[in-house]
Amino acid sequence: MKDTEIEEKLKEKFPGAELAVVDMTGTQNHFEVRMNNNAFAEGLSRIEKHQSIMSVFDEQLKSGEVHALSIKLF
Amino acid sequence: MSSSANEKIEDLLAKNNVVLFMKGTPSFPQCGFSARSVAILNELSAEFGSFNVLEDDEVREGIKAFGNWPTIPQLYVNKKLVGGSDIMMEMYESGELKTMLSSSNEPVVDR
Repeated sequence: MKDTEIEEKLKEKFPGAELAVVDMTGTQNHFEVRMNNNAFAEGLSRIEKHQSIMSVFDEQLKSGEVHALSIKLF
Repeated sequence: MSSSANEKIEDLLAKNNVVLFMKGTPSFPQCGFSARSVAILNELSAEFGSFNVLEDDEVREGIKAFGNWPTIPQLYVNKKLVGGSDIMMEMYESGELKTMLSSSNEPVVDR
């Protein structure tokens, strides 16, 4: 999966979100997502925010197409 | 998820205040993220139980549904999911993890 595809999928779920995606190893399966906290509804805990990002890639995480998704909120 | 996986998970969580579901073992982690999680817990000299998901596919898949967290490693404290290695690192750096672990230290089993 390409980092641009990851970005597109995230932008679909979080319209207007300030985010960046980095392919950590150049192997298109280890990604880091940096995202602004204001993309989330009020009151969501950190783990719920991470879960809502990862749920966008449930299939790819299951299949292993995406092996690792590191998340950094700012 | 099969009941046996659920039972195994419940059993592990009941026996240890702190449980790390990981790939490999604390002495031989077999994935960078699992190794980093073990290093964090060792740095905090935490007492923790661990489970090598590579040895049990049922638990490997079951824990993902159990915690609604699609990747390994996963840290549980007092039966609650804390997170994967990212959240552990964040909490380690902020000191939150140390506080959480020290407050969870009442022994489950009387030693």
